[in-house]
Amino acid sequence: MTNPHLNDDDLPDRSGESIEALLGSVRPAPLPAGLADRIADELAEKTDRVRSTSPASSLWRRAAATAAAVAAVIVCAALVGRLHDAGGEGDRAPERTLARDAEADAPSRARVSPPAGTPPIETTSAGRDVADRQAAPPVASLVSYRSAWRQSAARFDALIEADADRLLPYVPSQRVR
Amino acid sequence: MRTEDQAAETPRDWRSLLDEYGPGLRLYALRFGDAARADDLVQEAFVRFWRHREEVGNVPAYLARCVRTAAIDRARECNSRNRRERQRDTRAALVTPPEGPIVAAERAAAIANAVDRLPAEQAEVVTLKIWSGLTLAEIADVTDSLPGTVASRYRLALGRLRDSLRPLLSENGAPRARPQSDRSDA
Repeated sequence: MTNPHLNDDDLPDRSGESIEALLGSVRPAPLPAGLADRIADELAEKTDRVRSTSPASSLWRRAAATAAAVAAVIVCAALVGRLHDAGGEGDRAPERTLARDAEADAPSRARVSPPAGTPPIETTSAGRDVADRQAAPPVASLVSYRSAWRQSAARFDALIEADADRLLPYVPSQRVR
Repeated sequence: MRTEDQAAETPRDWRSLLDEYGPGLRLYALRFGDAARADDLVQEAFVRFWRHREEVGNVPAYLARCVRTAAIDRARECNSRNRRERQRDTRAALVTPPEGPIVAAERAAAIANAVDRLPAEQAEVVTLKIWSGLTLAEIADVTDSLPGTVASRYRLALGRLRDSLRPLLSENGAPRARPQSDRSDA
């Protein structure tokens, strides 16, 4: 708390002037070399820090962070959705893919006539396959398709190996091990 | 009033402000530690001042307060070694004008010794009054003291200094060397 009415002239002892003059006859030494440079460096560093934390740049950083977070949420949601689709299809994918394969092979199978005396192949449940196909999304995702394809291919290979002799005339030669 | 004058001033380069107030500020900072500590205090105070310079009205008083606050914050680190170093550095921190005779250097050393022998509160007031150019009211503000207390400390300090420095005073009480005070009080 300052007293605006306090004046140095109000000192009761005016005889201090001579000793004040003596004290004032010397002065502080100059600042040591290097201190000004240290302060300059510190000021530059603080200024850069202040600039980097200025309201404008902070606003931009926040906007960028928000956009990144929103993008991450969207990507995660899409991945979760696709994984869910893949999981849903994964349970039925082998059968459905087998059915698809069988259906896709149907024309070629129709074109290929089995040798005489070969019993007809009993196909899988076509009705169930049709129902699954209708319940499946119109466009299967790449992830679900690949996983389903791998599972169905493995199962198909197992079927072929189990009954290789009977299926041999109907499958391409490269699939027979 | 110095504050009004400074408010009317155009913005100045920080180096010119450091040249003007730095030496007195460092001398005051030496009251709280050795030379290295004083340099740190001056640096901290000046950087703080420069960041808030738009809000600062009284530059030397603000700088002195920053030094004092920072020094108090670090007071726990002080020890006897700091005190010995501080006394030696304070003696080296007062100089006479470069063109002065050797006698003047002895005078500077005698004055520094006499101020060092003062009680800390009195030495603080003398340092801020004589070499930082603050008024007693500003010193009271910086040191969180009552103005009357500051005036009393200053009067007591001058009395002690007059006794200890009597050989340097002429018979009629005037100093033997012409004073070169940079600033006059309000």
